[in-house]
Amino acid sequence: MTIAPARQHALESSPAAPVIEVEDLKKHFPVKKGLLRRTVGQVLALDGVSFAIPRGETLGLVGESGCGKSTLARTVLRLIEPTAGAIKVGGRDITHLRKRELRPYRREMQIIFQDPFSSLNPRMSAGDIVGEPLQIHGMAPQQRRQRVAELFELVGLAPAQMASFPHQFSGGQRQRICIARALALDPKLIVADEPVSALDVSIRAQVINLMMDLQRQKHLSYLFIAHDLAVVEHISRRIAVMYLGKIVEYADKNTLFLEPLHPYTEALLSAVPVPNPKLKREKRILRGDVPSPMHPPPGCPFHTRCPYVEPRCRVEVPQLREVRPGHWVSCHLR
Amino acid sequence: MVEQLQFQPLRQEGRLTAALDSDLLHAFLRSKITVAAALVTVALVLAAVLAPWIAPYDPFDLRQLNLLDSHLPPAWLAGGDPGYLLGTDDQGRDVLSTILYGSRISLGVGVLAVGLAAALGIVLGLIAGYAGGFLDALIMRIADVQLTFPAILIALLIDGTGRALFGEHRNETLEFWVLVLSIGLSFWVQYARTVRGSTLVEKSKDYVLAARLIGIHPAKILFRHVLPNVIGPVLVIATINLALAIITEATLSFLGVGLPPTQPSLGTLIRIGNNFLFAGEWWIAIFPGITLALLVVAINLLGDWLRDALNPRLQ
Repeated sequence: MTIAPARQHALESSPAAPVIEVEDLKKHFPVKKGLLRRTVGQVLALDGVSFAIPRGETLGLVGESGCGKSTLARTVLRLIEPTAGAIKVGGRDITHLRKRELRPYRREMQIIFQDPFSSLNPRMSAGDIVGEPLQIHGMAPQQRRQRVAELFELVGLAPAQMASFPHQFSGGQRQRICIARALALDPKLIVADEPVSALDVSIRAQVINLMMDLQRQKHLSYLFIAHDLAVVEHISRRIAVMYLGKIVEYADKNTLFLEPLHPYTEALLSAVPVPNPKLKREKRILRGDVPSPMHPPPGCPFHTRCPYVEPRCRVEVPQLREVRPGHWVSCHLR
Repeated sequence: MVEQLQFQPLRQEGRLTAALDSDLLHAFLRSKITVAAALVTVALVLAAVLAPWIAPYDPFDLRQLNLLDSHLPPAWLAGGDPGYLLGTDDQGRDVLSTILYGSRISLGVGVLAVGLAAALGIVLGLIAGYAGGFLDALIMRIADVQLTFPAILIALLIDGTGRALFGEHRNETLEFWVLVLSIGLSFWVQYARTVRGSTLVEKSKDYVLAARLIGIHPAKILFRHVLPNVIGPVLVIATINLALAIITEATLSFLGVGLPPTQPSLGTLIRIGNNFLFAGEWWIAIFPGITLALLVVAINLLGDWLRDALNPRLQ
């Protein structure tokens, strides 16, 4: 019932290559003003992001709102065209492929959105929504219906609900429909853009656990974006911390949670609530807001809020360095 | 396991029942004036469609016309002939029959013109909203320029161009289509602007992104995903515009640039009757006028109601 053979032919990916590899990805949005729409500046939404996700693994991506997480998700999927850098799927560079050439790779990567209310077409039945990718990629109606029913079962929905419309489902159920749609083409990578942020806390665990079960069954890779560190810790294997369009720290999740090296990561971790009222912790509260990505500060982008700031932080841009095996950080002090 | 499941068809039969039990229907039945307007509309449309079968005479069949029967008043007045209920015009045509045939033409022009305007406006609006950039600017600036002229002027212009183009070869069928074209082309702007606005809202929603990610062709995204979500306001505009199109046709015909007297629409009938109004033969102009007014008011009331019923803020 899978559509794997066709894909093997189309992609010829080497099994050893990471499912996705991103190198020095940049996305600059021009800021236009005035009657003539002259470009007066650039928003550096992504400013040189690199990572790789092996098969079956989850990379968690955390950061404040506005740091470029969602732009990264959309750029990786080529819903937004990158300004510079490379995106490789199964070892092949897809950065400059045209729409038609990109089509076989569309199957490889799917997305789950944050808002389960705007991500489903209100005028289509749940079955049609989940079946549409199959239809577009040429599956016969009879087969399709059966596959949609399988997908419904897989994500914990009753196949009898196929005829219902999105407004008849709860938020958690809608997110399950989104997951079923994403799984329809048997992708290798799913980009989850804050998939549980809009859900009730009681529903979050269900959806996260479903995603983890599916990962085990289908050997999926996730790029899991969130601002909730507890959720990211639960699902991820490695975690990347983003600040102003850059990855500032990248490490195994245990390493990151036990010994954060970047001052920004430290601050983020100290903000995670701990279910123990007696525990006294040193709190690091960041002052000020994230600087505007249109006018990023010179030197280290974090120096305006860093408690350990030194003179050279204001001048010199720190590079992302591997300070210990598998632990990357961009800070002059480490 | 999967084989044992009973699959329901993706499109359920229950939709008709659901429609019969919808809020829209209940809101409709609550508003007495809307029900009345709907009844009038249905009656007039039926009369127009069935004209060849229910009209007492065929006003286009010259063999049935007798000039001796011309200028007869309605049947209930002195000198009236019971065979001609609403009297006859200057050529001896039965006014009731010409009205029935005339509303047929008026409605035909109106429906086709609105259909043309809506189709054109929807397509251009979808393209402008979805593509953005240069195409958007081009389409919307053309729309803006056209908005600065009254619709009737545009219709006159296109109508005149059409007439000049076909010159001597023109006939009734041709003039009918020239009329449809001129009214249709003068009305598309409103649809385009409405659809463009809603498309801008819809295209940034995640379900459109998801569709793009599946690899669906942009045209298919527009018609399958965006269009069903922007069509609501269009239906309202179309209903109200139908009345406006009928009036525009009547105006053009009244001005003498519409349909010829041999193929009279309601507007043509009023123009013909206008010549005899001061001779005391009021029935030739008044009865088509009443029919036109009834039709336009009824359709307008329906449109108004539809607009309010579909507006979630008024519910």
